[in-house]
Amino acid sequence: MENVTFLPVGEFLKKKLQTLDLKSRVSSYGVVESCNADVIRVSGLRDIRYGEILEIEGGAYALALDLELDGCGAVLLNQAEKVEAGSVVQGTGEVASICTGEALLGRVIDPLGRPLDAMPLTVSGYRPCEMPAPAIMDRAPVNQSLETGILAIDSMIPIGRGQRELIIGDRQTGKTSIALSTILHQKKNGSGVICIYCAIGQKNAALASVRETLASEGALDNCVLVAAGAAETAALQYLAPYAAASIAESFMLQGKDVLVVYDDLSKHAVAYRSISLLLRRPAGREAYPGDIFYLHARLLERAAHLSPEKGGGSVTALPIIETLAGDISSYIPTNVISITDGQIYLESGLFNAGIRPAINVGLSVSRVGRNAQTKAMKKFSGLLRLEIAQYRDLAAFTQFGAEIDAATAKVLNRGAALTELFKQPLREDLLLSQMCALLLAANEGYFDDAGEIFSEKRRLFLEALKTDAASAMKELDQSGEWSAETEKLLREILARLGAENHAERA
Amino acid sequence: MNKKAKLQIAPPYSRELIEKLQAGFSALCGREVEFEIVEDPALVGGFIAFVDGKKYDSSYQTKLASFKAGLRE
Repeated sequence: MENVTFLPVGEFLKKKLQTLDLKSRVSSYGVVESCNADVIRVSGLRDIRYGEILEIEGGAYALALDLELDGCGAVLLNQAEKVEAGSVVQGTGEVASICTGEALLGRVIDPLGRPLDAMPLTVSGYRPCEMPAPAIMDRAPVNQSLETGILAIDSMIPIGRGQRELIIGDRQTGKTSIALSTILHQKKNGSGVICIYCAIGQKNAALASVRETLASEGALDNCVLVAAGAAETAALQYLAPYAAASIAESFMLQGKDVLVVYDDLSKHAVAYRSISLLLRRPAGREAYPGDIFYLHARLLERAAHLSPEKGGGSVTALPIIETLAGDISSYIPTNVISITDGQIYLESGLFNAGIRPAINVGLSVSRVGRNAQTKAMKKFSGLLRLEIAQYRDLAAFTQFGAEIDAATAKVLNRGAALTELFKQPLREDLLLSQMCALLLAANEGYFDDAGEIFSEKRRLFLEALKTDAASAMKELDQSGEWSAETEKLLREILARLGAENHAERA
Repeated sequence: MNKKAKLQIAPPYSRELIEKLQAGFSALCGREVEFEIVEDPALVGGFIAFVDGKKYDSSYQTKLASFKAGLRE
């Protein structure tokens, strides 16, 4: 330490003073002409960019969204009460950006990168919220599965890394629960997928509950929460999913796999509609502006699976849409359905009937995930959708009391068993091996005629897997390959359990 | 035609200084400039003039802020 010399403070200041630029600074400015709710009209500010952050006298900030010859229209990001007609407005030269880096993991931030969890945040860089989607040649096909831990999804509506899978349904049908279960499962199965949960227009209590769930399950350290609550300005709600997408991309460019949940895009569309109406843009169907499709298309197009040359990272998007009275043919749902690579449709009727997750298998689809499914899961899931669909048709028909033959009774029996099998308690996510084993058991007829003891039989079987087939199950989880030895072992367990059950009944 | 402009200036200042600034900006713009004067002690010294869609910042506040930013580099 004796050899270390420090420049005296006086010398240091003198040196810095010599480099001080004393010239006057000249920049252009505008004046607030009007302030209407969160929207301001500015005159005289000509040399600004679309999406540039404007600084308003008194410390308020706005986002320039309408550029005109004699000024611009902008939406306030904060402190609307300080803004008045005549306030001076200046461009900052910066577009809306979000902080990035590992330090964001486990944190709750707003779309401008300000921490909302009352702890200091050190960031390693910034990235604009609006970025172009990865180019065609930079992409690779979706060929690796992203497991959700939910049997009905992973077997019949599989999701691949880089896919956009919509979760759609009425309120209180379990949309957020599916997204949360998927996030929690990434921690449980050690997939290494980083999760970003973007809350748009949600109640702060709901966000606090999501954070609490993630923290209590030990998954928060793997997550970033980006939130623009219901009390925030429409501009922040509009920016939130783009900010989340930028954070996701920053991890993807490091070669990591990322899952981003947009909860929900219906409220995002509503926020953008209010901005557009206040900016006096022409209103179209349901008063949404003409570019409402592009609003979500450009966001979801940023989900991608990058080619190995670009690092091989991926962003998987799970947008959520809330429908009214199950109407999936209204404007925003049809838009997002056509943008995404499939949808998981949740029905309140099924939810109220106790079928949870309340997935309507007929209306749910995954357009690219099948290629990403593991070989083991593919082996069992091939005809599942068909069996369930046949069961639903026949079940509806037999409601009228028609007499049924043995073949029909078998289809009904198997369908009822599968429907029961797909019921899954909240937070009980299954590993790939458990799912394959359960499907094998269903195919072997282990659950047929189970009736009231179904859940008991399921529990016994899962316990037997842990005690009698632990190493085979572990190997299956790691390799994703189904082997003849595993099948033999499981058949033996099923035979033993079947015999025990038979003996008990006798 | 007189051009209405705004001048934020740190006190104390003299009438001569205002006249000098008005003459200087009138010559710059090629027309007579009339200032609406706003006293702003937060500027510490100097002035900020808003003329013809341009902001001319010659305040100590801005210079000190850039000096402070320079110290961190």
